[in-house]
Amino acid sequence: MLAFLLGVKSFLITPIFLTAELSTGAWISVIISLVAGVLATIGWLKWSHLTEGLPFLPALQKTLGKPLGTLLCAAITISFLIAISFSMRLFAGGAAIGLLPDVPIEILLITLIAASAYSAWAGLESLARASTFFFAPTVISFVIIVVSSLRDLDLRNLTPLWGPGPAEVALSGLRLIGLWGILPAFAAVKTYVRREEDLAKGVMGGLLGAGVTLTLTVIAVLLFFPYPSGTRLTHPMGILARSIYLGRYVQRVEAIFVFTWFFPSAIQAGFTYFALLVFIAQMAGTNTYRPFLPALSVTTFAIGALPVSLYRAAQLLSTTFFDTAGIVTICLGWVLYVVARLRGIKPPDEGETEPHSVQGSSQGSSQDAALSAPQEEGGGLPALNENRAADNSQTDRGGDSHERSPDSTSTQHRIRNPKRDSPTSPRVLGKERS
Amino acid sequence: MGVDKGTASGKVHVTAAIAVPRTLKQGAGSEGGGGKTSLILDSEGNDIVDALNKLEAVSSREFTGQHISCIVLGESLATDDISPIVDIFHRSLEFRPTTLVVVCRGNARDFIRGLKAPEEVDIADYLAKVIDTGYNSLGYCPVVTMHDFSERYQTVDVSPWAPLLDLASPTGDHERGGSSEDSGGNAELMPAAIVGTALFALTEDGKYRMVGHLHAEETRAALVLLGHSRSWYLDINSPGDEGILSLMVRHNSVRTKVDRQGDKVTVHYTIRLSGTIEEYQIDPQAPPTTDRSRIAIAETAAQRAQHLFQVSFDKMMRLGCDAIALGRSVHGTFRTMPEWEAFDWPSKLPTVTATFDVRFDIYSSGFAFHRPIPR
Repeated sequence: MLAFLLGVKSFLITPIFLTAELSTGAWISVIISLVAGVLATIGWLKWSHLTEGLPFLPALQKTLGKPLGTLLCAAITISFLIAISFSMRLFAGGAAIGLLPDVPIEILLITLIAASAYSAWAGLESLARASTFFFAPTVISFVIIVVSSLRDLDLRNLTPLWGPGPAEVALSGLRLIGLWGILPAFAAVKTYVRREEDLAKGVMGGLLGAGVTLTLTVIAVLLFFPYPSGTRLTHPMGILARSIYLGRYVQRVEAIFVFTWFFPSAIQAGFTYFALLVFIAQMAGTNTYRPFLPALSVTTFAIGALPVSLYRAAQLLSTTFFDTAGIVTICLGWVLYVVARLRGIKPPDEGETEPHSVQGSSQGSSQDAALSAPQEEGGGLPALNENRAADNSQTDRGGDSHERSPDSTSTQHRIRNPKRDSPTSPRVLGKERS
Repeated sequence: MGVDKGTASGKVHVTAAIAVPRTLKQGAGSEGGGGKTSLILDSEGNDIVDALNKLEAVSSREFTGQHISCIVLGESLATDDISPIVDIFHRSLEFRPTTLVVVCRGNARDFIRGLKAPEEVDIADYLAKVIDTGYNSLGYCPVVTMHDFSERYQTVDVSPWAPLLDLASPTGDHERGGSSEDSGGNAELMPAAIVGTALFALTEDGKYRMVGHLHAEETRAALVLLGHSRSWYLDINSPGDEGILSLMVRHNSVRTKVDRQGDKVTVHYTIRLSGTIEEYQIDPQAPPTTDRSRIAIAETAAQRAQHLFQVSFDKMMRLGCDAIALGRSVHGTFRTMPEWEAFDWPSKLPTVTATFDVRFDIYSSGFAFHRPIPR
């Protein structure tokens, strides 16, 4: 799912912006940014290990103190909100240009928001299943388009190899680390997984998958649309699909593939919604995130409807996230790790410290409320063991839980023994508190 | 769809041969050129879309450009400025980048109205097949889609080209039993003939226009240099006698080596061809083909092919049209894109020189070693 989360932008306008800036060296910059992203992600994972068992907000509060931790969580939430809003606008614009020119952009935006909101309402499982389902068709469609367009492929279009020059490619590659700025969204499932190594594996696998996807797409764009012809396109892979000529009787090839490209956008939006809602619920200290969904949907629409065009939306996304907030969020991992180490925070199995926040129970309940959906492996997310799945089998997906948890002990106990505890339902936790 | 320069400045004249689905379904005998299976309308407008909108005023149906199989550029427009065509096909959702591009002699309007589709029910199908056959079987012309055309238009390292067609001589093929009223002047309707390939280049006034053309044989050579050649025929003088030998070139490989010394570019082509002698065409009085004669034929063929490659290459460079994408090999010699862009490749084309190393491998294609001897 993280591969979708990060790599889906490959299918829209991102490769064009990259090639417009870096010409034939764009794919090298993406690789450099990916390496930098991996290094930055290690910082997040290390910090996550130190704060194992704590949800995102309590972990931040424990690391930075309550005010600063809350403020940082809010800032990350807002930056993700802006990013996903503009991403949704990109999708709507691409859909209007490529498929439905007579449909108002607002309708397309509302449709995507509704689909994403519903998937977030339904919970993580539906997203994971959708990502698993659409991953294969998306990859296959990409391969088929490339193979079908071999007639137009020319490897010489990748030269000059360094584009604007090695120094500029390298520096731009480091700056492009902001492309992976949405990655800290994994923190929404930070305590949901039973084993830390599953989280690390999933996150790294997703990041590498997304990076490879984006790199290959940039290469494909350069191969089939020699620089600078490709820099004026709105969705290059879609246009490539429209350009496939396999003979007089094979036409409209893009019809087969276009939906497999747009559905990952919805998955990306759905998961980001999920992460945002979890963060908001944690900050609000509520048992569930569902009440925030309408407000979040409206806000997303309001922000997403601002750009006047697809191109402007891409520019705003780049300005407000990729080039700014995204760089900060991805690099924060190491900062948090260093601060946590300096403050002597250790993982629970190394001699844990007491939970920092007095809101532990409510934080835990809201986290559980948000994450009580049964989960299956898909799209890079780790698998749960059967016991946990069985425990969750009758809980609502991502929403209010109705009943029992097998071992609904206090939150403190749960944090102390995260690996053996089962998720508790918010209602149970709520009852315990009362 | 044909596009010409309009009568007024800045206008374009669009001619559309619109298929009539009901008639096509019935498979009515096509008289071509606006006969029963297609309706030909034309109008003038500020651009293609404007002209097509005006067509709808006289058509009972809403026009859509999604099924345009072929766009014919009139010679007057092609030699003036082709940018209006490229722009609309690239930016409008309705028009498809898989539309084939051709250039015709004279006006596209006269070409489409005078076209006869002797084997197909629809002239659009006929044109597309002519181009397909011309490329796949004869090597007379390239297959150029609007996607290809616009990509070449937008990059300096390759120039656009397109098949050049003309109306062939009347075949005198009249419908048997058809009345003169039914045929409606069929004697004036002609099939299309491939002349060669129109070459386009960016001229000093900043306009992209047709600057010349390659003949059919030169096109074959150009396709080999581009690396897109299919099978084609090569006629050579039979060594040792005055006959003409026809060789079927079946396979070819090209390796390009570019040497750039400052602004001077030299390219060396290593070309390997293999093919068969069309042995049933050999002079019946001539002795059977032997190994020695095959070697002589191969050398003659290599020389002939080399001459063709040289002529074709020099012509394109002289016209300033890099249709064979030589620029893509040259820009690999640069380290960075700014250096390549500063090189200004189109201005260097007339000074580019090429050498060729051509070898031809001949093998027999017949089921018998020699012709049957009557007894």
